[in-house]
Amino acid sequence: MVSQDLVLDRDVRDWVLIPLTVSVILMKLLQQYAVKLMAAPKPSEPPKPEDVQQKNTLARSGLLRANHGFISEAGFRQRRAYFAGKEGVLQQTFPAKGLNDMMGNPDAMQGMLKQQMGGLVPQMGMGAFVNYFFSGFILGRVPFSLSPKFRPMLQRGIDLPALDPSYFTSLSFYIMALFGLGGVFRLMFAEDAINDAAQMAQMQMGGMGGGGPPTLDPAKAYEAERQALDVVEYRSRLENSELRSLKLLRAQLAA
Amino acid sequence: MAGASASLDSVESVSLLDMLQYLRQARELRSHDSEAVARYGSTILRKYARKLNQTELWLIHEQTAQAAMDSHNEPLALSISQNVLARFPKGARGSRLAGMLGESAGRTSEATQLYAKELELDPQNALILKRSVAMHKGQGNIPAALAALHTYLASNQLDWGAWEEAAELYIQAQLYQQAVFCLEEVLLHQPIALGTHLLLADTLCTLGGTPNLLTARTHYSAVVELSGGRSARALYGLTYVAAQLGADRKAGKGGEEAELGQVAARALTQLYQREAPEAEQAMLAGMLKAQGLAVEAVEGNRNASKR
Repeated sequence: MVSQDLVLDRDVRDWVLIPLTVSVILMKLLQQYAVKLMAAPKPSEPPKPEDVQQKNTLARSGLLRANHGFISEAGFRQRRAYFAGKEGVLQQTFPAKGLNDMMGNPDAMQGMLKQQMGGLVPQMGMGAFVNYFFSGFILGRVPFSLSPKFRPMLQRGIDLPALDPSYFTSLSFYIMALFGLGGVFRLMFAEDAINDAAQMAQMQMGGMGGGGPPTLDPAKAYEAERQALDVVEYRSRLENSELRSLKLLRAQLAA
Repeated sequence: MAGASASLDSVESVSLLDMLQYLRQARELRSHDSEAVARYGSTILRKYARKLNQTELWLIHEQTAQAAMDSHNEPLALSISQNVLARFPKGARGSRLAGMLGESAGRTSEATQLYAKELELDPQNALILKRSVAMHKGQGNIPAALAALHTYLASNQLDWGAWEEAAELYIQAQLYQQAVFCLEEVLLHQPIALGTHLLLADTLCTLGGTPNLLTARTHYSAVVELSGGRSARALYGLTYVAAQLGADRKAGKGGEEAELGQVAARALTQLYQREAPEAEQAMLAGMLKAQGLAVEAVEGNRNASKR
């Protein structure tokens, strides 16, 4: 099938293959650091005091349910009234959540958008750049023959039906380098590799959870906690400790 | 102590890594070996400041300054605090350090102002609130300390250490009912903390009244049970409760529990015979006699010596 080999100009190697590879690597590097830079200030966002307060209240009420047996009945009743009584903390009503809250924190949304754009913009720019400077070159040839079906994949930017499909063009090489160099990059940045898949998953998760830790719905949580606290029946865990300690002391005295 | 001072004298020979390790552990364990910390910290800051990363460098600054205040090395504390404040002119931790410096020099009004300024910026700032509690407590101004602690507890309800502190302050202020509440709160977090059970029972006894005494007896017996009868304080508590209830005839009776005082007295006597010097045994016998629990206990004593 191969009647004659194409002879490629050396300048194609010097001015297309090498610059193209270098620019892909540089762009990946740049992206890596840009992502680091943008992702870094994210965890410094302090939790809102109301949220902490609500969580603390719930935790304390949970503790009361769990360990009420160690305190006196009066103490338990006093606390239950504080939490679940008519004027109790857990009776507190919350304003209906607006659309903003349903969409999660707008700041988080914006941050996510920024991050996504941060990944997308350089890629688009790079695509335009490569298209402009490096389109229309044949860069090389894969060392095996391919069926014509591979032509759209390997010969992007050149419309030559007569050309053997095992030759590939600069644009196709760019695309392959862009997506296929992940393993090489992982070797280069040993620990914090660009892991596109993981990053993507993280972004997805971020989108679902409204950014950051999942926010609890205080109204529901309070309701549930209040009901749980209502059904608790006081039972002292120290109930018969007098008799037990009496037995213990007698045993010791007899020994 | 001799070992510690020897290692202090040879501070020049300790390697940087060892010193860093020591300081890290001291931070983590909140140890109060202030002199060693001040010595190592100042050596590091003097000689190796350039080798440290920023985070640790300033942590060591803070740690060393506090240790220096603790060990009355005012010049060192002052110079380090000045460095810190030059680097971080704003910020709660810097203000806290400056405030502590003021406190240690006795200029409490200055410290109060600093803390008030920080609290204006962030009324919930835990560091500053805790610091002002400590300051007021140190000055003996219990109501002010309690007020600051209230603000702190409002946003940190889960800090049982703070509840414990509140209980201590309430006891000092002789507000026992409130102290009982705080101690119960501690017990919810730490249900088998023997010390807390004892303190709660003691507080209830101080409050007096039959219901309180009965609750106290429950807590004392819980401690006896949990400590396997080795807690002398709980046994004392049981004898005290029995004596008080005995004085209060109508509630004193009631089943086997009423014998608890007698048995506790005997257990206490046995414990003293085993572990305490003669003089204290006599003292105990006298005390038990005064409580009206002595007779049987002394007889038990004789029997034991006959055997």
